[in-house]
Amino acid sequence: MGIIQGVLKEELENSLRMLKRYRQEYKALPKGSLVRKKVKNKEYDYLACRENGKFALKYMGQLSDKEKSEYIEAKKKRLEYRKLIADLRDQVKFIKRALHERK
Amino acid sequence: MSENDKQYDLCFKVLQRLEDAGVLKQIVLIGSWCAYFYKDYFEEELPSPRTRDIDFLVATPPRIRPSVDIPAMLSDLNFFVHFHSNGAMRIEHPELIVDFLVAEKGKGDSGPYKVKELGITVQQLRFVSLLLDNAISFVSHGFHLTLPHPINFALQKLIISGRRTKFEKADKDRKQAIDVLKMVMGTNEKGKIRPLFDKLPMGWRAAIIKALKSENQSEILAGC
Repeated sequence: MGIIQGVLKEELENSLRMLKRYRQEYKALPKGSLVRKKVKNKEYDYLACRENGKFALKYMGQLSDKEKSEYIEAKKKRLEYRKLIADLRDQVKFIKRALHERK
Repeated sequence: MSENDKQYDLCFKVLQRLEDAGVLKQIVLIGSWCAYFYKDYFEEELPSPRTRDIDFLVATPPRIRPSVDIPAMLSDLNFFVHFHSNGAMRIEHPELIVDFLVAEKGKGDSGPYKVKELGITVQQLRFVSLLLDNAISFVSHGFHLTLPHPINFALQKLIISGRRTKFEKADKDRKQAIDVLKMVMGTNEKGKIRPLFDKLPMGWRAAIIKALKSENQSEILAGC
């Protein structure tokens, strides 16, 4: 039992540290999704996001391919980080329960 | 995919990248993951509680060709670099923590060690030099792995068990070492245990005997 407990304690420390780090990285990513709107036969980029709990469309003008790919990449990363953060929260919950740290 | 499958999947992805970069065969896989890969050496599974750390030992001076930037190589797999308080790096993911180590050359030389060839700064550890002697190479899961010889692995675990501050870690080291030694005793390599033990410095031998005695396994050395 001692060995398992020691391993779990180490894993809990690691998970808590990583949870903090992934949350920081998630917050640092640019928010929103790019939306392309056609106005009078011309296409314009908008950023769809939430501001103070309300949906907002921000006009971005015509973005370069590099800027667009940055937003697309950020969206992909956000999804991945959300999944990893959820996994880490499950890990912490599981380990705390195993160590009887959580009622 | 279960939690365990996810970890194996990621571990194999990391190994694949190291193999593709030509680095894998130049570094030695050490730590608790050895027990998992020894099953291909012994053709029998070893029971072992394993943390998510996967440790690699780099021989010094590093002569790794070609040079690679490991943190950059793993960043798209969502690994992040974590710095220890002394500046040494570890590369972390919720499923796996990749750690690189080098052997400490002498007392007072325990600061972080820069491995330019891999783009990392690593921790120096005592006694791990024993893991580089008689290292074995074999193919497991399609990877060309280099691992410490099981006897060296077990004896090193016994030595460090006496220096652990956490009882649980010391207990884990001793039990893992004894499991490996018992596995070796069932093979034709049994006769190699005693000669290797006899070659070790006196202090190391005393530490091994003490660790075996504390587990009531002194007969392991007597029986070789």
